[in-house]
Amino acid sequence: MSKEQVFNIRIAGIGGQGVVSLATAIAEAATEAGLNVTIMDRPRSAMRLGPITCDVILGKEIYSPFIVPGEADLVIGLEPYDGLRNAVYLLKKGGVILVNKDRIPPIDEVATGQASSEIERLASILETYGAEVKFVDIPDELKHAGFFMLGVVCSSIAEFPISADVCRNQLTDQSDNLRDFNRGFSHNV
Amino acid sequence: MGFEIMEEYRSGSKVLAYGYEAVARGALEAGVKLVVGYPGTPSTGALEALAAVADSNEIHVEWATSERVAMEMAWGSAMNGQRSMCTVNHLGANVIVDVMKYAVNYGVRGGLVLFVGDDIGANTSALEADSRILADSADMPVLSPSTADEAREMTKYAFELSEELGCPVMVRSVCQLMMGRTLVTVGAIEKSNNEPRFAPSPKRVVMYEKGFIPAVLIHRSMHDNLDKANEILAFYNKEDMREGAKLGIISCGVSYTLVQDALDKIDARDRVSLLKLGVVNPINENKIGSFMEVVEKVLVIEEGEAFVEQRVLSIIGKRNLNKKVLGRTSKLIPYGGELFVKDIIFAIEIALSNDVEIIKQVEKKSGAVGYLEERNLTPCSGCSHLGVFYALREAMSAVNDGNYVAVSDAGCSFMGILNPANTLNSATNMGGAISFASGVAQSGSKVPVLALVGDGGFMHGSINGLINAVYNQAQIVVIVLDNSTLGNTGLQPTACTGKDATGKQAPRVNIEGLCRQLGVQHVKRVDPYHLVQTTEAIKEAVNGPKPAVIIAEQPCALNRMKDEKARSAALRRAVVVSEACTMCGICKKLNCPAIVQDNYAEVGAKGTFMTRLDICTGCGMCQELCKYNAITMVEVSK
Repeated sequence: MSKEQVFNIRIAGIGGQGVVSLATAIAEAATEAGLNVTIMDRPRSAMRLGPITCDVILGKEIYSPFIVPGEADLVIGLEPYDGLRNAVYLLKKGGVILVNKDRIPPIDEVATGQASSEIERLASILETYGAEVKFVDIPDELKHAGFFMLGVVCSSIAEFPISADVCRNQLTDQSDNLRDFNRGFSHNV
Repeated sequence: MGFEIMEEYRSGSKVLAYGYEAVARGALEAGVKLVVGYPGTPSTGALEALAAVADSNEIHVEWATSERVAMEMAWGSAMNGQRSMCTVNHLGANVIVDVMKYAVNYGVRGGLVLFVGDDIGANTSALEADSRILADSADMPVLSPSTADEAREMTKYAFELSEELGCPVMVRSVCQLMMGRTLVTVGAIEKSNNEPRFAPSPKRVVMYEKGFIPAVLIHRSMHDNLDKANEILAFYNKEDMREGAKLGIISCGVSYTLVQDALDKIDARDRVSLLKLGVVNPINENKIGSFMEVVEKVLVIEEGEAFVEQRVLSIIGKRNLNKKVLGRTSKLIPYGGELFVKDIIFAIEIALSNDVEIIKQVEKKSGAVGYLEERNLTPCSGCSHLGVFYALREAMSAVNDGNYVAVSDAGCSFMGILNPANTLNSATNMGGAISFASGVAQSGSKVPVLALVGDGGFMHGSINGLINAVYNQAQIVVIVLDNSTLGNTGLQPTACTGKDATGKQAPRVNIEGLCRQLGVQHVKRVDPYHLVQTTEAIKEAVNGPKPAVIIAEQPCALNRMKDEKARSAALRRAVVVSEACTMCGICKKLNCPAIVQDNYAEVGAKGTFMTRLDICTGCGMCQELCKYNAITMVEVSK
């Protein structure tokens, strides 16, 4: 990545999944790597099970902390529908979306007992558009799906401007998170 | 939660911090002595950051029971010679306009800063509003930062300005700045050596000396004050003129950063002159006037209403300039909602072009992004409000053919009007439900009228409504959803929590005792996790003497989980015994998100119910409901 370039990441998920802590970890690693960074949190009303997104922009000169539609390099979906929904209008041509396979149904779907078929539809829209959609099977017993995903990002996305070692250094004081990161790093997608 | 920026003592170092942390840092650097606020996105975090360092910096920080109380306290402290701050969001600012006007008229001695975070776009609020208009109506100066660095610096300076002018100063920002994190450069922390001494403001001595309040004279002096502010603050307005540019953009606040991004993206820097306003009230007429002299048309980009734009239009009229003004008043930018870079690119491209065909093309391009439905707002699993909503529906189905009117305050009880709970008819403003319900009842209601208020709302303004209901004998039933916290804004303490803003022990105000002393006809306390008991209590209250109050007492499930995790090794969880489950569906009537169907992921499949152990809080409500003993409680290790 040249100094004038930026790398745009949107993280989407549900309150309680660790969207903000993942964004913070990336930002801290970026600062360590000497990159300028901005983060933008977008929580919605519900405390725990509401949708939340975080924009993380890495690069030299950054004015506004929002990713412009069509310019995201990477979308991380800790929840599949929310990840895909964000990717549909944000991802650039040829961008990558990493999606956690585990669906967390919103309350209206729970009430009707009908799962939405949107996930397949959105994934196929994205693929037609030239995006790379990668579903990630995150092991159930993990404490923090986010750090597992960060490991996947470091191992599978060549353009990601922060090295795995810098990320590891940021996680050393929390051994659980480092373990999750390493498991993600060695995970095949 | 740690606030790194508040504990950084090396001036000049950079810390990754939220916009609201930068505001808090600015206040800390200015030597603030008293900070009082009421939670509301995006202002909440500023007070929390100051509360985290209150003891080590000898600052008094508290959550007040309402915005009005907060502003009155901050004003009193400023009259006592101390630098003081009040933090509220746009909805809170509406509540304190009365105090704002008094404080501006009677003056302050120590610096008084009112920090308002406007949730433009209503990201987490019931509605959006622009607080600059309130400041204008009170003749109060408003500073509008564009970046977090500026937010820190402006907040710090606002205290000085307030002392210089002898009137409170508003620092106004929005979610786009306050909820974003950037690297913020910190300055030195100055300790205030002001001795607390109560005295009138030196700028308003005339008021006390003359033996009467010369309100008209003071009002005139307020406007002289604003003129003076304009001179002092001229340095906050910056221009970036480009040779031969026909289009000028006037912008302020966070919009200015978006304008810069937009200009870079369409490579139009050289075709546009920029004017950035750091002060939006008073508006700098000379600066705007001379800026408009050199351009052919002006595009105004700001968050909220057309506040600056209206003033630009009036300057054009006054100076008799023949210039076109584009923005909200010309329908180029919509009223309502946040502005993003794509909206601004759209506006600039239209403003730069006179060609109708190009305008049509731009319009087409912006329509390419379709709308995808957002996830529904979902209540937390094990929320005691779900028990009250269930009990209310059950109780009311037994009387009056299930017809009733139920309204709630703002906050988590708002969940009751949404799908799939569908229990309440309407929500009101914070603290408004009891008076609203009284109005419904007093104008002649054929069905029972109920008001649901949280403990936060009860202490905020509902208590006033209850006093009025007792006095005027309103035939209403009040249900206090006492979860001992303000859940919706992020678990801040209330007067019923037993903790203060800094986490220290505090007395708990007794709602039941309060209601009894007021002379409420019928007061009953219930546990909302016991659904039968709660249902019976509601039936009894609806059929009995009114006004009646039911207090449904159960801590917020999120706080309860935190406590349980800290205390015990094993946690209680509900599981469904699938052999016993008959799929009757009664447990789903709770609308708890922890209860799902086991083969949910397959479209159109049916199976037995199951509970999600990762979010179940072990409240036991579904177990009480199940008639087939198909739900049992188990202990799981954490």
